[in-house]
Amino acid sequence: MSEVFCQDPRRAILSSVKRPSRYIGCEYGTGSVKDGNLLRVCYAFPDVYEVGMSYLGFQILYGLTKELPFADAERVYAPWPDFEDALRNTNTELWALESKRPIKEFDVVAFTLQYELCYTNVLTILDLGNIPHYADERKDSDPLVIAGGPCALTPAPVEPFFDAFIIGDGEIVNPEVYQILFELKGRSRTEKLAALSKIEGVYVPMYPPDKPVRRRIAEKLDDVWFNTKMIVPNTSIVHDRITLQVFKGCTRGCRFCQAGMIDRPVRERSVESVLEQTDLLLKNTGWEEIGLLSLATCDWTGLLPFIRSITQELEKQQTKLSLPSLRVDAFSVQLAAELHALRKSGLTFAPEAGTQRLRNVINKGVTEDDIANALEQTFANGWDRVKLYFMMGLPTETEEDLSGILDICGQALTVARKYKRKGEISVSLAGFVPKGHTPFQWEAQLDRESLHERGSWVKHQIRSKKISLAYHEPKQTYLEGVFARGDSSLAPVIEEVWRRGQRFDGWTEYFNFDRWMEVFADLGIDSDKFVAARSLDEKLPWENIDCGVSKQYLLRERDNAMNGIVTKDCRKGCNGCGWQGKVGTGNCNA
Amino acid sequence: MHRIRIIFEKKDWFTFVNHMDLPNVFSRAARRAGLSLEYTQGFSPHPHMSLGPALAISVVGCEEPAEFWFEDWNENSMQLWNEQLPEGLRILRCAELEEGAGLAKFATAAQYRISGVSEKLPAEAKALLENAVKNIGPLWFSKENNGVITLVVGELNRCGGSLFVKTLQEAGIISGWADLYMVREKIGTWDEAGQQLLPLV
Repeated sequence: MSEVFCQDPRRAILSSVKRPSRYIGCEYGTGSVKDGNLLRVCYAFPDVYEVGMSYLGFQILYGLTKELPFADAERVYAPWPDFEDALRNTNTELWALESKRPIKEFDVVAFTLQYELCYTNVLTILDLGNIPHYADERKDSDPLVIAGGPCALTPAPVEPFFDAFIIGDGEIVNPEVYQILFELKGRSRTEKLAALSKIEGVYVPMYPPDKPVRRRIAEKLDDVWFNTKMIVPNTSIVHDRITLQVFKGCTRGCRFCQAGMIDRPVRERSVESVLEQTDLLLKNTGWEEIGLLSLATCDWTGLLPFIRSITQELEKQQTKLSLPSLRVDAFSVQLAAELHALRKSGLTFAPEAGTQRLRNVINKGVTEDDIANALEQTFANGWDRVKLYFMMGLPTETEEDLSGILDICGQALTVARKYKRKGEISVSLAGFVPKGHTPFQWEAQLDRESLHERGSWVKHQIRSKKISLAYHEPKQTYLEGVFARGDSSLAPVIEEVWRRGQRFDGWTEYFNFDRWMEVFADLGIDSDKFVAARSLDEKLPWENIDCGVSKQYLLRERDNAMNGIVTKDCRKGCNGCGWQGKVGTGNCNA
Repeated sequence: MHRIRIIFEKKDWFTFVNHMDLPNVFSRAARRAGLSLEYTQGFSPHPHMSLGPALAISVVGCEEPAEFWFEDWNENSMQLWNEQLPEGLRILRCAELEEGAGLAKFATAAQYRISGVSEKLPAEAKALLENAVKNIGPLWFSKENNGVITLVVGELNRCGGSLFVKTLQEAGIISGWADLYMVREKIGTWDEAGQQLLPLV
């Protein structure tokens, strides 16, 4: 055994890189590699292992694919630059973690595009796998390269790199795709892609559809396949825990939030179903922590019953329960207070904007009372720290809105003092990026100099050592905005900047803005135009994708934003978003 | 409460998992197996355990020791635990111990086997390694057979893979970790009278 492994050239490569366990597989829960003539799918996450392994979507799709009798699944993550160098120096093809086969030998390489700044890593994975970057350069012997995830909804900038995009919930669309590809195994790419283009929720650039591709959703979550196993890493990862999705969609209608616009209606899972899954996942993973996931977990109607049913068992098993960010209100804090597991760390809230006026513009349904009550409850219940998320550069923002952020911090300090808590406030200030398929898709993104000025202004106004503030790098925000609303002229830019060595743009140690700007200039691309305001009658690059809400609704919401009119939570009645052609109340079961 | 000392092997691809990650790997496997680990008291309870001296990444471990405390333990427990371990990690045997001195008191000597991956190690490698070890701590045994060097060393926190690689690298014999194949064959206590390494279980 080991004597053979000793001679394996990959052993030498792994001996020379940092954190080699990223590349070895060997995790519990992968199941064994299946033999036979199957459709082989390699899931590819264009970021490093610790990030990619934290992504629930792949845990679900991996398990689902393994259960298909005609398919098998494996994984690959973006090689860290030291590993990339080692592969290149030894002329070794990138391998999939499970079978250690080169990824080129798979039928499908399936990427998820979770954020714009991962695009260069997609090219790294393809290149190290000896798969041509451009779809039209691939031969019949190359894998089909497909992509899903949020960025697949605005695919233009990366369109030439992919053979097909999955538009919607993979639990529903992917099995159909794999079934057809299994039946067509051995046939030409064009035959396969022609067949895929007929599936609802699949966008094949080679076969442009007559009408926009409508995003497909899983309707009744309790009836949809859910995972009862997970791959348990051997090394710590970003979200090192069991993740349970308790609902899809969101009823709040925040106008900046693409996920909340495109994923409708809200579809909740029943407490019974989540409890059953929790029980199985605890047994099958051994993880010490459970996290509930959704767009607004405190809105889950099953939350209290779930917690009451599970708390005792979790304590017995020495298992923690974590909620991501809490809804800004007293109820949520009281709930957190009941959870012993949450006692330790501070609480996290996202008021997003500093004044009521601006919160109304973005339709963040949080009032001044909500904020006051949440802070009161936080410190009254004995916490010492709060983390607050805000955005800057929101449409109509003024200095008053930015001072509002400082006011809320000051308010937090006052309440902390009243309850004799330490009161450490940490503020995260993100630059607003207008996203496609939202009411703000026509807005100008604030330029990076102004973002920098505003961030720095807020930071310098802080008079207390108990408040710490970090704002996102405006250059990264800028680039994110360019690709969020870009068109297909950007693909050659991504390719060229990659050729010049650009990798891991989401990581400050590798992000090189000057290189990007050089390539934009050299290729004659005006990157500023993608973050500029768009006229309302302009054809937008992502209009080939139909996310579900009507354009009229987006325009109406835009008007409401500019007039500071709040649109109610759609649990309280229909707002007429025109969801997938279902106009009026009741049809979407919200 | 049961104090269980295990002897495990770590081999093949799994040698690239960091020693510091093993507590989680073992405790999650034990949880999956339905075994009842004993947890430490305090604000942030974690499983009560004790690992042996660190094994460098890429070095094969044939008989590595560790101790875990369980609320319940019986003759089936080890098998259940093994069934839940990831590929490349396996418990070979175990023993229940009385409370007393910890693992560190007994895990004081290790036998390493060192060879070249693609080329045999030259004759001078043995003397170089012997000197390097002696500068740090005891060298109880050494031999060379057909380019394969066996050493029994003490001072395990400083005497291991890194020292061997650094020594041979500085002498220009190898270019780095990739050129060496190292196996930690045994860990235990050196028996001076019997000139042998006494196993921990």
